[in-house]
Amino acid sequence: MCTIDIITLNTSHSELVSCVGWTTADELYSCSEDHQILKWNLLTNETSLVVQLPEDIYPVDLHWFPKTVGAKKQTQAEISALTSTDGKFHLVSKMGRIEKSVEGHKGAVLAGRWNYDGTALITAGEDGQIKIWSKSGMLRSTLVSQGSPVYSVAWGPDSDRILYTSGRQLIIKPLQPSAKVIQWKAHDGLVLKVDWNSVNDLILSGGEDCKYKVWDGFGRLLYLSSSQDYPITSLSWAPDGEVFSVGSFNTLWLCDKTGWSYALEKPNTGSVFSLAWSADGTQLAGACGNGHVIFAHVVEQHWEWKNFVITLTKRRTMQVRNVLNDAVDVLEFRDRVIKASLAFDHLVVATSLQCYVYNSRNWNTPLIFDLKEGTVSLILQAEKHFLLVDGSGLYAFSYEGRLISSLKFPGMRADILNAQTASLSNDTIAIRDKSDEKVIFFFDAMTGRPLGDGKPLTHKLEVLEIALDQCGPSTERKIALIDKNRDLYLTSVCHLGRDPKICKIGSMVHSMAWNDAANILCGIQDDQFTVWYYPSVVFTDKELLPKTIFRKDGSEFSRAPHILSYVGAKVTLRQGDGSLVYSTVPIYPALLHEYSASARWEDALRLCRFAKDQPLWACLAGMAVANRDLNTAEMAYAAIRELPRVQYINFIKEQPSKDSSLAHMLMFSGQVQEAETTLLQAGLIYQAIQVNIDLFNWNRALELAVKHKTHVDTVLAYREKFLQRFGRKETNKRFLQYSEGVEVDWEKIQAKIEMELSKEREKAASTAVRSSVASRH
Amino acid sequence: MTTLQTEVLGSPAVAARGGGAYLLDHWLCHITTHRNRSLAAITAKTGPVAMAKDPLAEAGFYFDELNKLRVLEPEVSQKTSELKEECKEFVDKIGQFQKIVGGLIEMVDELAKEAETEKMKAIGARNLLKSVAKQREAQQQQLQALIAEKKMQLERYRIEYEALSKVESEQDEFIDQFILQK
Repeated sequence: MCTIDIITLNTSHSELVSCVGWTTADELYSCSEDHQILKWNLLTNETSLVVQLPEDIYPVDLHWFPKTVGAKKQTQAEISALTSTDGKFHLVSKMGRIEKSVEGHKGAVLAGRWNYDGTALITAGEDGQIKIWSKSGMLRSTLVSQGSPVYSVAWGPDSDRILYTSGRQLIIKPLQPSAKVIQWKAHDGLVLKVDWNSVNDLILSGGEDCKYKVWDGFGRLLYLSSSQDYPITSLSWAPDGEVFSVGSFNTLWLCDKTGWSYALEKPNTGSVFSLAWSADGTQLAGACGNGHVIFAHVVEQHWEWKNFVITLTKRRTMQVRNVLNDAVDVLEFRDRVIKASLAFDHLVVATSLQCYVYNSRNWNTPLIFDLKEGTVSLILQAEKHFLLVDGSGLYAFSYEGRLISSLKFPGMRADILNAQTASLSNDTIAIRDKSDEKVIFFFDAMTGRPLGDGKPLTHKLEVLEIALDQCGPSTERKIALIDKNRDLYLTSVCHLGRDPKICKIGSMVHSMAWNDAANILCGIQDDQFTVWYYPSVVFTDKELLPKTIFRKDGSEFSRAPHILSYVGAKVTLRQGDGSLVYSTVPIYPALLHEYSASARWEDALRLCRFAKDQPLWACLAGMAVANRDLNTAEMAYAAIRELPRVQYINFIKEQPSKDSSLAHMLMFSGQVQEAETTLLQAGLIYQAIQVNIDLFNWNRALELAVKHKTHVDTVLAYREKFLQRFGRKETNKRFLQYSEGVEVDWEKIQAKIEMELSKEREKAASTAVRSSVASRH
Repeated sequence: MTTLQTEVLGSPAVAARGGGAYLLDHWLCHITTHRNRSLAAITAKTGPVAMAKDPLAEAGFYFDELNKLRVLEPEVSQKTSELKEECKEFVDKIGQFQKIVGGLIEMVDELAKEAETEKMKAIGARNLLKSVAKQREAQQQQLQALIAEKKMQLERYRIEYEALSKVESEQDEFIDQFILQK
């Protein structure tokens, strides 16, 4: 929950205020029909007249040149685009000097927007035209010409598309002339304002039908507000895309990105004609019809973790409540709180200048360090460290306040990362690329360098959400990802040279979260709440996966719940209507994970016997196989009535040598290639051939036999037997070729096989003796 | 005399119309003609028969009560002075009348002004009343909107509470089961 706290200063314009724009987090410029530009300083609460514009300039829209582009800062002097009713737009400096006036349109210029890197300015006019201008105000092209005025225009997330209004319709037009235009009817009245967020790629629109709507980037409706009392005159996304604000006559809303409203305020302002968020997303300014400029702050945000509830009571004050003993601590900060995060026993608070790190055992003495740049847009936490994301980069800090590493990679746009596209674990940082959404980069959290060979993971589809698991050794780090088709995949982060194996573990997954203390994954699958007790089982025994899943009927959650956190056994979800709901997951799997990690198989078995839960047994089976504990695996498989598996385990146990049993373990997990390699490396050629024969992989078996000049007849004999059984004739040219020169004699073959096996047994025995001798020494 | 009286009676209307000076002239002219007529009558009466009676009168000389010589017949003289008195009185009255009427007009004007201001006040009050109703409506609308918002929030809290209660009961159940199995 959060609300807004509205401040109206005493000074005001004498006429309607048409537009506002922030230059820094505490400095706002406002333009009014009284031809004045005022500067509002929120630190000193002072208002000063910047410039008195000529009598013929009636400002309409104001947009400041974007401040940061990717990782580098703009060196150019700050400038704004101010559009006016006489068809011109003006480039105005911070001192109020009009650097340049350009005749752009016939009739008023209704909107002027810089793109995200400031290389282009777009203007939309009453004459129905949209024009693109260079940074210095030279006309590049006329993008659109239509019969009705364009009331509002917005850039797409990558500045490669624009969104504009056309009467009741919204149109997305790519800048490339050949690309497809998306057009749809959005409102029952004129559409007055649109906005498009670059972080979450969502579109906002509001119109004279008194409704505001949220759309995705393809024009699909995500939220429709009820009909309000007055037309929607302004709306604006917060930079981080988590909330947005909507203005109407005497009304101001603060809404979640899913559309439901956190707070409604009824200030006496007249219509709110323009809304602007400061770059850090904590302050909101509105241009009011009665000449006032209102300022609003987002307060009353809540953070919950285990037994602590933290509320931002004022802009610089937090209240910590320990619900176990009702102890209340008040945390005071020197500056405004911009972002905060509470997890893993630590509270991390970023203010505009400093970062505070609190340990939940001691709320009195935070660790404080200075921040280079004020606008932290994201805080991610892991058990050992946390990640701060600001406009210029990503920085991993330890909870002692030491900078561990900083990340840089080409094409990085740190400002548009969110919790869905970046993930942190104790040793790894994963980031989804923005320019190619199929690509995920992995970095070592300790050094900031790319992991492994530096090659990113490329999925076959656009990835929407990524999450790293939080426990276990770094070599077994897994990442879960949801792609555009809403399929959930699991893959390993460390893959030594080989192509990573990306396994699908679920479909229609809308949201997911890893547990903080065990590698358990929960997700919303269609309308069910699903918990993958042991998702890694997909790498050892794929067929076991469905058996390890715990499902709960999700009908108790209304539409589109989103998982906020999964701490301990408690899952917190937020429903589409904004209400928080909770769900519990049995605690046994977490215990089982603990036992398995410390190889306490006896305890694990006892736990499973106690819980009498099939998914739990299936988990244990998977864990035991993964850790090559065959006795436990046998029992677990028996408990879930997987008799073929039990038999195979027994077969593995009977293998004469270690290498063979290892190979068969790999076979058990479906890793045929690896099994064969293992056998060949151990010099067990016959066994490798036999493995291929067993899998009816005739060509490979023959190839091996010919290559090593042994057991060609064995392969041919088995092939013959196989063909006879199915009553078919040999058609394979290679087999026909080799069968000519070789005679098949079953007795000989049997003897040969017996010899091979005894050889292996002897070898194993001698190595065992050697190893025992070595261990005795 | 009768004509004179009617003239007097009719005059205020003329005076009221504001033609005071004209009226007076007209009236004096009347008096002169009247006197000429009566002189002619006297001459006719005192013709050859009355010659012997009073030669002075014949010559047009008369004595008044104070035995002063007069050219006018005492009767006429008396009437004239009476008329003069009456005229004076009349002028006074007219003046008075004018004053009263002036006052009246002023008063009516004042009244009109007052009525006008009252009327404006009434209109203002009526408008205010209307706008108050509208204001109340707007206020009500605002409050309704706020109430709707709060209701939604309440509903959210209710759902959250229900979810938490469910979690609690689940955990209680788990604890019971755990204890029983042990």
